[in-house]
Amino acid sequence: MEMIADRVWESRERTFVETRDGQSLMQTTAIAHLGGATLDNEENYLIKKLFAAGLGMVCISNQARI
Amino acid sequence: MPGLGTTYGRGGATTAPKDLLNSDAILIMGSNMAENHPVGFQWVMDAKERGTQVIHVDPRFCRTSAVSNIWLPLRAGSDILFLGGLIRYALENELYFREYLLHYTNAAVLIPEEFQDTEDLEGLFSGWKEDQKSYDPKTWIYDSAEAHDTHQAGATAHGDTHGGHAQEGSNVAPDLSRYQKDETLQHPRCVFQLLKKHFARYSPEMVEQYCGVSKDAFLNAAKTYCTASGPEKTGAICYALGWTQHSSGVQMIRCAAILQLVLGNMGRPGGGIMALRGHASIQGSTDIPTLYDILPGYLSMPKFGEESKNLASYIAKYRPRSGLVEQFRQIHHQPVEGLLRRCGPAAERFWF
Repeated sequence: MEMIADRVWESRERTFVETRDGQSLMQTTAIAHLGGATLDNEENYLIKKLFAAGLGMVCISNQARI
Repeated sequence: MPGLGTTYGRGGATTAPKDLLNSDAILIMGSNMAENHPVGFQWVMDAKERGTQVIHVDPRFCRTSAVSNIWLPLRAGSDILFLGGLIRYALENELYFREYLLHYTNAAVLIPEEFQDTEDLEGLFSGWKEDQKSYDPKTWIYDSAEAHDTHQAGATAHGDTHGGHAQEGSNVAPDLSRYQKDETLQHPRCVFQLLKKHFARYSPEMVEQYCGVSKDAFLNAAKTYCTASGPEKTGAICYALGWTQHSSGVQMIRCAAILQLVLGNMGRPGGGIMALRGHASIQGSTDIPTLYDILPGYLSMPKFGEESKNLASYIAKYRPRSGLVEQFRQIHHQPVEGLLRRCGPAAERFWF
């Protein structure tokens, strides 16, 4: 668990982009998350909160796309 | 859900399950609704008690089949043929809803002469780029479109985003009144005639040969479903992962979407397409939404740049140009705007 946390945080620190062309961006494209059909509401909520809103990850996808 | 997104501008189920009570016929395909969506299925059963015809098309005889009026064991994977057969049946037997097609669809709009169908090009539409293995949609756009609109209509026909829910079609829905039309639906290049030509091959004989259901059984189901639609009646289609997880699932759902428009079943009580999905998993993921390219309510996530500067620039970009959803800002953005007002101007800068 600590190894995962360390690596995620290190990757984020290294690749986080705050602005581009003077416009706020606040994202990292270095970390991705891939989910499946068994994720429930609660897990999806946490994924959005932690990965998208918290860490600024953009590459988040799962089976709901189809 | 690009199938529904391309046709209707929003890639989600179009009605609430309770609305099935108002249906005169319910076609269930690619779903064992009685067992896998039992709560929604109560409305199917209630409707059936009121005289609604329930048609279940599925290779397997299951509990849904057992309580349906008609069960058709289709050869697995031949759904497009069956749906194509239904579209042809409705068109050839003049069971389509003419006024609806004229006012609420693009049936009367003309397509340029350069457009060629699969019949002309042995399986390909015009614009195929062999070296890139992709289509150039330039010849599919509406006739007499100006340069600016050409870009828009082209984007509508084939959006630059892949998959997703809200994107394809909804971004740039053009104002149809600006294009050349034939309100008699007789012009050989109008969408209606092109559709008729395209689906002409899906005859009952072809359905019998490839779907493995007898011609009589198909015609009975087709008559039951198509005659339960029109100015006074509506039919609904329910599907689940039996369609979505096929390699050609998008095309199946697109066929269903076309059929519902031909019969005038969209946006009316008891009509629509029920996309049955996992309630807390897949639908939950769409509503939260987990996917990176959508906002809650099937809205598009703005791309970085001009359109994501503020709420006004976002609405300017994504507002549909025709139909009821022209009131895009009022309908879709009141909740978002309310939230922004409560959070103050800093929040708007953060969000957009």
